[in-house]
Amino acid sequence: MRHIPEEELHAYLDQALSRAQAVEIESHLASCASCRAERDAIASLRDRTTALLATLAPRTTPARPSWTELRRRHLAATARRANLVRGGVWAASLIFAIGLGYRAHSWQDAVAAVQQAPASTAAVPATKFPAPSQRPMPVRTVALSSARHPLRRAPVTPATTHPVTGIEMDTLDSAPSGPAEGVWRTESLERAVASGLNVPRVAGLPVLQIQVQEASSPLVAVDQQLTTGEMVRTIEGPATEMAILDRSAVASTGANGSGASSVSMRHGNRMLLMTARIPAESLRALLARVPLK
Amino acid sequence: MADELEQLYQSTYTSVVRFLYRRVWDLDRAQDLAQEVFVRAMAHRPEKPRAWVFAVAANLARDEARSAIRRKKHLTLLTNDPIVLPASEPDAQEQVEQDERMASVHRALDELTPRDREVLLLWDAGLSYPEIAAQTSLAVGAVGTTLARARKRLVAVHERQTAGRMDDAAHS
Repeated sequence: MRHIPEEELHAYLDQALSRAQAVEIESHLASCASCRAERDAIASLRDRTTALLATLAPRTTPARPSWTELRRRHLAATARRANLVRGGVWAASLIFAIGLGYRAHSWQDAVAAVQQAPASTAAVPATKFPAPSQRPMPVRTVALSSARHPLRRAPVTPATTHPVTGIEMDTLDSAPSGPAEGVWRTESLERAVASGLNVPRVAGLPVLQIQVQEASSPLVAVDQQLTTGEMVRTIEGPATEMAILDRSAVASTGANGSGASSVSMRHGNRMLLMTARIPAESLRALLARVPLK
Repeated sequence: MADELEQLYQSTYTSVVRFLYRRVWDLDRAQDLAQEVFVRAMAHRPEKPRAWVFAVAANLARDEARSAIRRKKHLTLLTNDPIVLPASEPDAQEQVEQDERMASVHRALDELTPRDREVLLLWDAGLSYPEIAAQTSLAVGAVGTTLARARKRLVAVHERQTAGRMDDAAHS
């Protein structure tokens, strides 16, 4: 009769075998003195190992921090990650907004167009606005990703997709973040509004793209286009986080003097920020047309 | 889910610290790493949290072992005389003996191959054969073989060392 291999006896004593296998081994052991002796030897080897390893223990058993304490650390780590990602996003947003578009031929046109537009309709039919081909404009590129994503004037449609999308999303997608936090998702206007999200936007201007970052409180960025082709980005989020963005926006627009402006407004613990390459004065006029919740 | 993880934390924290201690030989560090493991578990929400916790602990311990500083400390622990406690300590002698026993098992454990050592420590931490297999990419059937070899080697090396020490003592 075949004797039981050593490793099977280990597995048997470690209770790692199926019931059927264990029964088979037990029936063999019942009739084989040699395997019984082997089993006893392995059992004592096993006990000896356990005893030796037991000496490898810290002298004192450490106190265990409370689960609440660990949760706090987890949340802190999550917040740090989210902030890192958001910081990157802000920088991208700014570069995007500042590097965007075209020199305004006439920003007054832009504001006038807005003022003529029906304030009640968020999604304006495309025909209300001149198609890009009717007003040829120099095409400029976004500073960050110019090589790969030349920014072209978008056909003005009330749709939420635009070739501009994805410019900074490329940067975002590679950002080190968990699946839940710090990730922008593109939302359609209908869905965003239906889900009860506050979508900060200039009434009457077509929405090109909505991006949402949902953490403990949402951060929403909306891109809209003026009739002159200028892109206006409106960002709404927690004031504590937005204030940092605002300062850097002011700093960078002041430094390069490229004509990009940013204006911001606090409402409660939230903050609204608008950037575009148009004079601050006209931006403020646009800001006044963003209804607040 | 959070409750399940919390329960696991209550029941296995000490095992994880001990498991890590046997890899990094520094209690403070073992505790830091064990806590890090559970903080990470909250973010990852693993499907099989118990096996996951030990898998991450083993990875952290491996990373730790790569650090040169750690290695130096580890050698110091092996070669230095056991920490001498103040004479006023009533169980000082006993403590010294315990430290000697521990250093001797530690040396024996170091004689094992990394794979054998890992399997043995995982088993001792309470993981099942399938859990060990999943973590070490061994076949479940190979876990018994590995454990058989590791146990024999640990006991044999340890006995040889103890015998050698007794010989030394006899000669001196």
